[in-house]
Amino acid sequence: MRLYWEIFKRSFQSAAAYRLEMIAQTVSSLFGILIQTSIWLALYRGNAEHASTAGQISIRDMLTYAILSSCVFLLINNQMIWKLGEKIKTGEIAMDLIKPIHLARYLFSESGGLALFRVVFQLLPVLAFGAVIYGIVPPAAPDFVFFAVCLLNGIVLYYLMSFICGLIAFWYMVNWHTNSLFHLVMTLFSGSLVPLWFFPGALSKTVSLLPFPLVFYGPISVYLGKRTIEEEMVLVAMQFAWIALLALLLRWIWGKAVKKLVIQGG
Amino acid sequence: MSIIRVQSLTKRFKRQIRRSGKMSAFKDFAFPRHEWKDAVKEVDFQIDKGEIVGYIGPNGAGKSTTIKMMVGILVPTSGSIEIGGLVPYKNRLENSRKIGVVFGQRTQLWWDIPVMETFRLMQYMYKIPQRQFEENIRIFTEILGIDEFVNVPVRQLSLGQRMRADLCAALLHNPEILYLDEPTIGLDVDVKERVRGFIKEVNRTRETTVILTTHDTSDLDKLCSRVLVIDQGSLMYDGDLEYLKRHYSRHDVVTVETDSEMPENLLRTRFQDDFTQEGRKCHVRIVPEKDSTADCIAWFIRNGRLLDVQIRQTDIDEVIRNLYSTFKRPEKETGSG
Repeated sequence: MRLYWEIFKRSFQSAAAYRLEMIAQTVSSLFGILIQTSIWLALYRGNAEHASTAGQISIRDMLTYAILSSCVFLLINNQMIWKLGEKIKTGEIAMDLIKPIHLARYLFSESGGLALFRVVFQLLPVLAFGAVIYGIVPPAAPDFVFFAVCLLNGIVLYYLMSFICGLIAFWYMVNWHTNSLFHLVMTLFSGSLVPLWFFPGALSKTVSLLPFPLVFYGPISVYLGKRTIEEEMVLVAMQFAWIALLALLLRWIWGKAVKKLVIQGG
Repeated sequence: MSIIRVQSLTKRFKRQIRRSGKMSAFKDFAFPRHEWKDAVKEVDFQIDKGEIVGYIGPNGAGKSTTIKMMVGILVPTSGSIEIGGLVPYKNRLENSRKIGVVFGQRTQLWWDIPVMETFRLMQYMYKIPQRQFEENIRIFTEILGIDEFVNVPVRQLSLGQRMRADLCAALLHNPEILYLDEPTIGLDVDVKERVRGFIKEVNRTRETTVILTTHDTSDLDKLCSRVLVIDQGSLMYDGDLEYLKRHYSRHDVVTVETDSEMPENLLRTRFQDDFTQEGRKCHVRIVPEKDSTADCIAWFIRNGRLLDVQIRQTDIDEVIRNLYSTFKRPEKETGSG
């Protein structure tokens, strides 16, 4: 455990080396918020509320949703697919395999440190900007506890999914299309752009069985108090189930990937 | 007692044959053809604890493939490896705690943070006891002269500094075996000397077994008691470095620059055909059994005004080429499949 904590700290430290990059990213997420909020303002066109499968959604709810969605993205974004691809392409993976570490855990700690750095230097400014310009709906206290749990689970889920997709690089050298496919699916089904409550009923039901909405739509809808306590519990249970399932899947694919590498020499 | 046992080790890779000519790219895409290539072929050797062994051969000879199999990140096609009683690829994690690895072209240091932070990370990674860690840091930083840049981020280090830091990082957990893949590549003479001194010292005081690949003859001269020569995947020589050089390096080359061009006739009477002329420069081949470098230079001093003299010994690649031509079939084998 100590090792992973140390990795976490060092990753935070090394993120500090890229100040300009951080500033550029902050600016681009501010633009992201501007675009999304403008779209929602235009869609609502003066209406205070819209009907949805989760009841009436006010424009303030929706603006909060868009801002929080950008914040969640800052938290989870890890470029794992690209990172693993580079490791395979450059052969750096060999250096990782001759160390007594579990690469998935190692990289998880690393992306954790990076995420914390972004929380301090990007997420807080973005949140402050959103709160001042649009006004964010404050959550009810019990909702907030569930939200925090959901959010953390969502981070783990996203990491597992992206790592598994990244492992595809062990078989196919070029993995930028894995990357774009994954992001496309994420954008469509996670609710990062359009909340599932605006999806047609059947589609919404199907998609909620998948792990993707558990990363964005799940936590944010909890924050906005759109779920009953029972629904929140089901949501968290589903997250744990998916985490367990994906962790097993990751382990299985990792075993195969290493085997492939050690036999064919990458 | 051998710490490393390698028996009829073979690694066969499949690789695609690229065609040339009309529509070749299309054909390669639609109907790929493959061939099998033995990167390492029936290699046998044993290495004892505390030896420093040079593993040499031209580029693509199979050195790295062998080392990858020894560290456990490549599975042999056939044959066996045992490192300290373990089969590396079956016990990758366990094996990794007992070995140190430095690949000259790569770094295991964390790029954006000070060197010391990577060292500390190694402490947690290999669970190094505090006392051992502090003692190793003290000794290593002194011999390698790391103290001056231990707080500098790695990306700001020069190649020489980075290499020294990498060596240090690879040895903090007192590995039994140290694998060095071209550890002195691209370094200046001073740093090379320091790196060699360090390797020697670690080997002497801790009985660390060292396997080293290099293209630098002086690395071998200064460090290795024994060399293994590999070419085209086969082990061609296993033994003393001196013997190898005496028998397979045929000549030295002496380059002499004089203030005016030497008459060709004069040169021919002394050196017959063993020279080439390049304006005022003259290259002479000296075969040790027939002639001596000293006599050759003395002759030039008597017959002209010397500006410059250079003596070049046969480098190890040339030795290997000679070795190769003594034993080998003239044509390269290629399989298909």
